[in-house]
Amino acid sequence: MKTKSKLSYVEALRTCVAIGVSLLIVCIIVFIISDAPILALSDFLFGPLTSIRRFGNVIEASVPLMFTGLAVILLQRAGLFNLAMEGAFFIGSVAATAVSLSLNLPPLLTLTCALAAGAVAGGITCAIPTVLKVKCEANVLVTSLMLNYICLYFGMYVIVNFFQDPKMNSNYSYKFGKGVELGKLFSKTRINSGILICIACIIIVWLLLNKTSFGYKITMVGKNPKMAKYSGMNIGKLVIGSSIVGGMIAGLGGAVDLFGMYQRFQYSGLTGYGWDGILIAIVARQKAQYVPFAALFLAYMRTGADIMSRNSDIPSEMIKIIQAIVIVLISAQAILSGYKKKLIVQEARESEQGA
Amino acid sequence: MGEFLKTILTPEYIFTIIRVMTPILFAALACMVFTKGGIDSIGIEGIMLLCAMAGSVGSYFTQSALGGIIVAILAGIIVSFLFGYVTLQLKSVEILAGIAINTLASGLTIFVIYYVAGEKGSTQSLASPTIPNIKIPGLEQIPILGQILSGHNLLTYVAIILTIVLAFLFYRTPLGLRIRSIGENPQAAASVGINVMKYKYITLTIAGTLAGLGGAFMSMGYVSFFSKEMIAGRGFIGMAAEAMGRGNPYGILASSFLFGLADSFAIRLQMLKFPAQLIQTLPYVITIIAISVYSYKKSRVRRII
Amino acid sequence: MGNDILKMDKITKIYGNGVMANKDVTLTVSKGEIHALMGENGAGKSTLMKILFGIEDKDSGSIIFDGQSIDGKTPAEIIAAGIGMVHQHFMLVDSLKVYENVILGMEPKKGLAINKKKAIQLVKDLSKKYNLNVNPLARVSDLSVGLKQKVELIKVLARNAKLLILDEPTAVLTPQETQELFEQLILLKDNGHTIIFISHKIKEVKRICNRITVLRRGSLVGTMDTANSTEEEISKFMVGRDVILKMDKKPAIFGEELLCVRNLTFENQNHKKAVNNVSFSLKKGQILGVAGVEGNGQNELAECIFGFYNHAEGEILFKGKNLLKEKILDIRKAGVSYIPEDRISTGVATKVSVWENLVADRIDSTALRTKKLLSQDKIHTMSKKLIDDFLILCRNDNQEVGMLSGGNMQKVVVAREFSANPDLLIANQPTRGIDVGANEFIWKKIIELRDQGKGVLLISADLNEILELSDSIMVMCDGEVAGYFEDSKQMSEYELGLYMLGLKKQGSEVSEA
Repeated sequence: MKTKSKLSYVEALRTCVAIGVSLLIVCIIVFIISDAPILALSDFLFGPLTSIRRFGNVIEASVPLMFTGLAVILLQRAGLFNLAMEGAFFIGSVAATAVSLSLNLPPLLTLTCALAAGAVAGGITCAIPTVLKVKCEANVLVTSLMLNYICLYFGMYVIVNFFQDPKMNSNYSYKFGKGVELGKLFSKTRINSGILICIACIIIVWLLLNKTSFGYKITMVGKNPKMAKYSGMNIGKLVIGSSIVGGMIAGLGGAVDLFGMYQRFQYSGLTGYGWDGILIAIVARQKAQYVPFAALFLAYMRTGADIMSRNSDIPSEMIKIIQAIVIVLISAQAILSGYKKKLIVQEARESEQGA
Repeated sequence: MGEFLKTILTPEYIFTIIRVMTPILFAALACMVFTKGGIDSIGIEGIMLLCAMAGSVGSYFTQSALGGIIVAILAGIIVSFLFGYVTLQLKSVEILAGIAINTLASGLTIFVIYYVAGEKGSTQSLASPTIPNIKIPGLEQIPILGQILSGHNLLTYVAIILTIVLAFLFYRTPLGLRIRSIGENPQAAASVGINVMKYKYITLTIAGTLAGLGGAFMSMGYVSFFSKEMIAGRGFIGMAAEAMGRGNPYGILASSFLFGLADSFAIRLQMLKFPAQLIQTLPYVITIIAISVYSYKKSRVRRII
Repeated sequence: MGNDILKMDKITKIYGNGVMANKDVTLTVSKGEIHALMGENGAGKSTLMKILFGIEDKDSGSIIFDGQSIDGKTPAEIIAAGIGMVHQHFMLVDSLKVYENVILGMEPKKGLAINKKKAIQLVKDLSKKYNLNVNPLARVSDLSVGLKQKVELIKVLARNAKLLILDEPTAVLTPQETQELFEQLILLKDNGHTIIFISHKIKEVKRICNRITVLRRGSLVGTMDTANSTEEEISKFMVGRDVILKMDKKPAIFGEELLCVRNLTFENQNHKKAVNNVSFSLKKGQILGVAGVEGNGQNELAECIFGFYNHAEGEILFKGKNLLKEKILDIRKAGVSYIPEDRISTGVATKVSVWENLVADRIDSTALRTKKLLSQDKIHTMSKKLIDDFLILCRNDNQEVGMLSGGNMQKVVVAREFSANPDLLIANQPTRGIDVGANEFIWKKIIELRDQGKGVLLISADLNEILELSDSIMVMCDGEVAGYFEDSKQMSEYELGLYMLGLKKQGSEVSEA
């Protein structure tokens, strides 16, 4: 039986402390600001549970978050800060729109091709900064940020110039063909079959990271590139490979969002899901199996904040304050470091005394 | 085509470029200061957003533009200090803390203006004094040059002056030398007795001030109110401009100008039925290419192992 | 004594993990002398100086400098008191100019700006006075290593250092640059400065130092006048054997040639020939020990053979194939394993579990899979067996490797490299910093490998290890082969010491069987 060391619990504990502290801060803010704090807070904390539709909102909102969360985990697994998932999500959506409106095949086939196109577009996007890093030592952070905007404007160019529905605003495309959609699963909600694709992705990513030599290798590259090289691994290929897969998931997420929630392309700008993906990856502690929980958590709080904002005087943007605090506190190594040190010394002593 | 050229080759066009370049220049200078002090600058976007809000709200409450600017600068310094505390004392990862600041700014700004102005989108309803445009007597009369250089917002002139001031600060003063050393090799600095932490916080103060001015310009000069997400990526463009300018204030001025040019060019190009969005990608594409070339050349020197 | 400028009295320092870095060390330095502090790696010289300079705290003892106590002072205060240190790894800001590095922290001012003229003049004056000629306006990143060191010296002198500490200053210098440095040091001495010269090179120390203090394993072994001591005597102090382990070895049976290295040359980042025209051969069933003080090219030799670099020159023939331009993966596949010198930076990933470290070189093997996917069962079965076979002390194979003791961490590396069934094992400082039990175990494993007819290239700065394990010995000094001895039993540690320290050298041929 494998026993889990107490040390890994420190990380989980830190996550809980972070979430707890941020919720506490928000409660305090609400109490100070609102005229009816108890009502507002109960809307926030329990609102999503009050109706099927509302709970459905939570699930719907969690889907794109799961995609970008997975994407971020993969993109950063090998140790690089590639932030192009935001652009990849967007361009995936654009590519899917373009393909679905250009093909004249039976709907299911069109849908499949469109989704695939989204994945491919995303994969190429995220690979670019990494390739530039491997070949030219170019700063991945800056190039990936720039790429997000290139995706935005290029994507808009494609939509506006080739697929724009003249009857609507400039960024709206034509409606998709009949049947080219991810069908609704439950009545009274907008939960669609996209969630099945999402779950499939989670499983695939989990398998990839834990059950393939590729997943093992990119993890080792992220932990100690020198040792990985010494063990015979090809760092350049691995790093590029992980970016491609991460980008594909982000692009697929964009395509799924498109066909699941809308009937035509209608984004007016970058969605912001990419940035949320970072929070998801942090809360999920970089493990694919925890992504759904992290995504549901964020989606739940978003929905709750939405409900609260409708019935009270607290804007839903408050949720972003929570997000910020959580990110900072979880990654703050100094928190609980004293406790962690104690555990380390204890473990070192234990292992000396015998297996 | 003639029509188009008429709009491009005019003094008004260059005037516009300088105007558009101002917030980018402030952002880039702030990024430069961060980088010189060895700190990651991805959070500048968020800091500027908070400062833009603070400026607008501040000027409303003090009913003076100067009051607004001061509040914006204070906000910049406070948020930078918060960032410093979180990364230096709590030892959070800098990039993540920067992203957190951006997220925080996104939410907090809406939050605050909702309570001050009663709306969630903007502070248009507030009667907040703005920063005036200045006509420079004497210069104004000169044909062409006068049209290009006179009549800009006060903060535009401030930005250009600050470029020169910062060049002087970093390359000619002891303070600048020390900041550069703690940024590049804190161990070497510590070995001659320099207090690294103190200079990190000085760096944060200077950068926070620049971000504050940039934010104030956006909500009190560029337009006359705060609206949500109004920084619109200029903080990131500032990072790119700083990288392209290779950390040199004058280089940064040049690359900020380039971004301003590309931005206003796009709008003009619509006349030619050129797809505006494609042109809008240009500054970003150019940056990626420039950075790749520059990094490749640099790595050749080291490419032994 | 009235003429002492420095007295470090009964200094003791124990590190957090129990290692006794300095044990009751008393060092006295007279005013105006050049005093050598000698000892091998791990002897405690660096720690002692770090304590002096205020970078590390001591556990007990006192320090008196120039008549005043300087206990517990910060580096800034120590600098102000008149002690300056030229670190082994330069403390320079590369993008700044020479004069800017020199005046950092004490900049002469003109209004708000730095008084550039005055700063440059300061550098020029010091350059002239001490014969340290550097262009004040040159950018540090453009300078050669020798020039960078001059900048460090000027930096220290600009702060009016009365006592200069130089940490292994000649380690990175060419012979000509070393000569220049010595002339400057003598000039400094004549000008009234006192110098502590940390080094392990006896010949150099004999040239310019007045007295020598030798440390070994944290304790002071002796202080002597250079004039009254021969090189041989000093050598004995430094490399004196503390015999703990002895090994029983069957006589060697050499087989056919396994590895043949010819004219191997490798230039490092500083354009110094770290490996200079090295040729040797290794046979099956032979343990070839490479002796030498660290930093004489042994590391680079091992890394060249294993494929770390892509611009070495020469030939590396292994089982007939030239490995010179091959990738690490292919070299491993050809049958070479490598225990690296630094287990923490290269040998293991400390934040990762034991089993993940054990499979790092074989994760692609089908033996670890069930139907194309990694089989946790197979992996854990294999790692548990390795843990048992190699007596790795850990809670279970999931434990983070960073939690293990040095000896057990090394056993993880050894387990992985040995179980790859290599024909050639390169072991670089395999027992450095580990406990006696692990030490003995690893030695046994190496001899086992050799008895199976495999070849072992053993690189070690520990003479005990070299003499106990090797069948044949090759000594490296300054990147070259200083000597090759087919039969290790013919050599004494004293003899070897002479070759290691550059006091003796065989012709330029290497004898081959």
